[in-house]
Amino acid sequence: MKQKFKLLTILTASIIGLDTLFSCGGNNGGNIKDDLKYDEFGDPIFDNVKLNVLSIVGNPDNTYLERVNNMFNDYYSQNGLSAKITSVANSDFYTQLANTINTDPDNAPDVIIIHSERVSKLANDKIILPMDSYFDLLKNNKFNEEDYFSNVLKECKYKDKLYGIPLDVHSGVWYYRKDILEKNNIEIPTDLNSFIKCCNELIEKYKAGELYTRAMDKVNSANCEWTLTKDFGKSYSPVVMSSSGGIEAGWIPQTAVFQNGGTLTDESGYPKWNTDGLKEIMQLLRDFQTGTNSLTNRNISYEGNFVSDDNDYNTVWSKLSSGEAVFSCEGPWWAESRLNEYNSVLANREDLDGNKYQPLGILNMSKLYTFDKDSADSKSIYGVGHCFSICKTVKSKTKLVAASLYSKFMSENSTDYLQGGHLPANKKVYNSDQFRSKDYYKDYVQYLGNPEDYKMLGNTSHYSAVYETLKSLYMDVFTKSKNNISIDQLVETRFKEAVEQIKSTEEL
Amino acid sequence: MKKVITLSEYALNRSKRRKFYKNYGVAFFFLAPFLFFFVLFCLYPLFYGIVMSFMKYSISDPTQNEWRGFKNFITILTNSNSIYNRNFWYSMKNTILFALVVVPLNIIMALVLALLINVKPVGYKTFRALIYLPSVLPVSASGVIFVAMFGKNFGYINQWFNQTTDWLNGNPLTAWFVILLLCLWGGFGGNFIILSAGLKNVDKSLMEASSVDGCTGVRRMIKVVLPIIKPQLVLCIFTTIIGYFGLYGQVYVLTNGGPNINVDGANYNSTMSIMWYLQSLINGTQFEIYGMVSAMGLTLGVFIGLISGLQLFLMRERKSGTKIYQRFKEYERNKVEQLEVNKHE
Amino acid sequence: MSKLLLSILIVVLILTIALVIFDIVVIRLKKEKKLNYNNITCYISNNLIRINAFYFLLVFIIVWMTPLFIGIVGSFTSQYTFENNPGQLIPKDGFTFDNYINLFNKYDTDGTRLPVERWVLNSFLVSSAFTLFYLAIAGLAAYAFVFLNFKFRNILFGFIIATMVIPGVATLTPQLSNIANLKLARSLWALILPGLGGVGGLYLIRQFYLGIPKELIESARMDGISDIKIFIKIILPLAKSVFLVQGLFCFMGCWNDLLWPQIILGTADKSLWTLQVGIAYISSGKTANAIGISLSGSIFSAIPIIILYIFTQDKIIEGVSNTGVKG
Repeated sequence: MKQKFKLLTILTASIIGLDTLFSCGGNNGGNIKDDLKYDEFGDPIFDNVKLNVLSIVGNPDNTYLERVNNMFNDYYSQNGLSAKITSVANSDFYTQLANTINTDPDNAPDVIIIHSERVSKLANDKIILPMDSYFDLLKNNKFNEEDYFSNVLKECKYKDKLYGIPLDVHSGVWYYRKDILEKNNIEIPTDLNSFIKCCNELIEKYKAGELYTRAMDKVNSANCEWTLTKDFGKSYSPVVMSSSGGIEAGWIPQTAVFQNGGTLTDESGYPKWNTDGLKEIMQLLRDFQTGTNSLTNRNISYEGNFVSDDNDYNTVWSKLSSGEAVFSCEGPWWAESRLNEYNSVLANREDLDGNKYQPLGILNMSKLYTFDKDSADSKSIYGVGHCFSICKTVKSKTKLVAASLYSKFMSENSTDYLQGGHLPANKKVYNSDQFRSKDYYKDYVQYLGNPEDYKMLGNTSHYSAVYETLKSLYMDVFTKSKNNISIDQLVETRFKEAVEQIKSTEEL
Repeated sequence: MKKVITLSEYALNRSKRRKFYKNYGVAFFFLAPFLFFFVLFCLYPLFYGIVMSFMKYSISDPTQNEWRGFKNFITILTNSNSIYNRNFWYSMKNTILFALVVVPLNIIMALVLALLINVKPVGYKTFRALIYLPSVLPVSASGVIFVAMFGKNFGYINQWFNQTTDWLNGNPLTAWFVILLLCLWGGFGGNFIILSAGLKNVDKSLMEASSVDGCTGVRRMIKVVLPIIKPQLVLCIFTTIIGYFGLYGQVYVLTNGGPNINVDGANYNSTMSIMWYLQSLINGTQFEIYGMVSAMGLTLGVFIGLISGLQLFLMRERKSGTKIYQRFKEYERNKVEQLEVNKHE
Repeated sequence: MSKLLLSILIVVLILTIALVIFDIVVIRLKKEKKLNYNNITCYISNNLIRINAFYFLLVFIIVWMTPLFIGIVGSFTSQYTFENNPGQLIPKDGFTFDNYINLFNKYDTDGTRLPVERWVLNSFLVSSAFTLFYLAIAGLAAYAFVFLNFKFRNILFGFIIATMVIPGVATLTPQLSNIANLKLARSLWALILPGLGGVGGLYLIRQFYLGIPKELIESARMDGISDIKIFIKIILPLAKSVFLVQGLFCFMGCWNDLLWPQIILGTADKSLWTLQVGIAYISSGKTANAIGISLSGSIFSAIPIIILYIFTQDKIIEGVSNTGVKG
């Protein structure tokens, strides 16, 4: 009896199991509720539609994004449309997203703000929906591709369909100690040669004991006075490249690869980055760290290590503020707070001759690593952007239209958001007077370069295999314990890893 | 035709039926809550997992789900071109090697301390409590403490010994070493308690007899004491081995699979344990891999099952342990009697 | 600091050598029967092994407690010290409660305060609810497996035990969708209910029941007492200790659990988190500028467990040694 009952439960359980196993297939597309109605002006009627937005944008940028969101809510509240942003700036954002959408669709977001380089992968995994058709339903508010920078918009497309509305584009920048360069009469670099020359001069002056430095010290103002060649310990390296400062995110190496005409994937999205050009660039970046020229066909000389060995998360800012390093790479969202900090401590300080120096400058990476200054690619900057996409869990046409409207509105009115140190993806915003007249534009955003020069990774549905291994390669090149392994070998092992990963996944 | 039932027959049947219902009703009452949760949260996912392991199963796009037969298992067992095969066996190798190093250390340490405690020095209860204390701490907490000790720039150990070793992210061996320390620190308390409980069974006179003799006591320790606590030893060894197949928290907190060094030309996460690997697959962005993960979990389960089977087989000989003990007791008694007889003579 | 360490090492070494010499002398004197039998020497010669054991245990315990000591001291060390003068057990700028204060005033990336007190509450709720439910359910089931006779009893039990072999990871994904189908995801019930089907505690309680003489139950049945009454009146008082031990294991296991709550509670609503999830989130930065607060979080999350342990360590140790289950 007992046993029968048990058997029964197992049987029922298994039937339920098989049932749920296959029934999930049904909720994909097709059954979208057509509940869209228009008013007399041809605008859709929203009756208390609340959009749930999940965003990977963290602070400080999120505060600025909230401002744009509030604008949207003010504008559309009487139409019965509102949106709420939840920010989850975690590394497991995408896993959580897939889990939520598939195991718990009731709690899934409607709109997601994601990295646009992930669009192909998410579209391929059927997590986000194509948006073109919903813009067609917005009769008075059509989407015009011409309004967006084509290089940024391309990243949001998959199989010729629009899966995301781009919001911004950004890259890492060099924060440099303008005061130290100016005080020592060293030119601010504009290309590879002048960058190398600049670093060499700094090292020479340090060795000769002629280098003026000062620290940015909020507590002890005595450190803020100019001193001649402080002793910085074992060796002096003017550049900080730590894993968190530009390596892991790929800002420095990826930009270098792009500027020398490198390509990353072939047409079908398979990795193709094991090129000689990339290897040469990796060797150059490693030479920065070892201080010896291994590129025999290039005329480069090193006075010492440009980059020191022990670079970790902490050194990005601490070495810059102590005056030990002159260049340090970080994300542009630091610009506002760091400029304020440096200016408040140092900007009004006079040296013995009564001169004031502006302490911190921002340098974008355009032309900094190219061997050929005049090539078309030389201005390229590796860029990353955010975009708005719609989750497949949205089942009502009204909501889909509302989400499309929201994405478009946010992108077209992103001026406030750009204060965080981003360039807009929308041409109208970029050229608007409103944007150009903002203080933040004058202070730092104008130094970030032209959005047209930003080059995105190029979408592939094998995102993690192609790019995560590439980023691991960049990390390898900068890891001291791997300095005895040749660049060729590093590239080939990582490339093999990428190819095998794709093959194994395809064979599943 | 009517069947004639006598009253007594009816009563008998009725009481039988009642007894049946009573019996099984009571059993049902006692078992139902547990079985309900067991079926719902243990059996059903297990069954579902077994089904998944025969499929290509995607959590993001169920239209991709397809039956694959034994393909996942064949890949895991034979296809060395697949990274899933290689990573699985690499992490298995790591886990097994680690267990081979840490289990003897763990058991020997537990045994030595149990022996020390067993002579009951002053304050032995406090000692016992303190030795077990790290075992009840959450791994996430003890892990952070070890990070504070072995961190590169701020770690106490590096500062005290004027080192700049990058324990956790520099060299796979040092990273494994710190994991090992954490495993010992937070892991051998249970074995220690079980072994000291086993030692309590050992007759006091026997212990004293073997200890007073000093040097020769060590040999007697191996020949006499070990057989007596054999059941506990077997239990400890196997539960510890099985426990280390689940090595996850320590790796997650300390190194998270790193240092990212290519040790054997194929794999980068040099402190990858099997649990950490499965976890990283589940938490990764490869959404179509879940069938493979289930297949890996089941393969691992078969391994653990084999080890458990071996344990059960060895535990069956439990009697022999007590036999030796009893024989020794008899021998002791005889000896004492002999002595007494001798005395009288 | 390393000088201090060196001197400690030297002192320990000297003491050890002294003890060994002392041992040799005493043993030799004893063998040669040259000992004066006054009280002290008598005690020493009789308890030589205990003195040695005490000494080695003491040294071991000092080493063994160092990490915990460092953790506690470190949680009272200022951020400044970690960044600029690391490695000091007694920091130059003194001890400070800052790390703990910061723990309760930590702001997330989106500007909201992390609700630490809510996490504590959640952890307590989940752990206690799980413990109570599980004890009730497993206690009843174990009774059936030991004292009730029904067909396939042992086969059923064997089958249940056999499922323990499959590691939890293999069933993680199905479990996730199971929870979601039951509409339990993103709720604390998802932390309480799945564990109730656990087998380990059932096994432990059954082991204890097996030690209760069956005649006791039989005679009670003869007297016409129903099984439910037997369970309440006889078994519960007898099995108090095993319930206490299993309860402690349940509570500690639930309190210390990290993986499952991390997965099931998600990151969107932080007020749902348990303490361990929150502390792991706070201490995910393993850099000098985060280690102080990480340590304070870790120590804080371990305090309830340590207190519980201090008051119940006798029972726990007894429980482990009786049953061979390590919690």
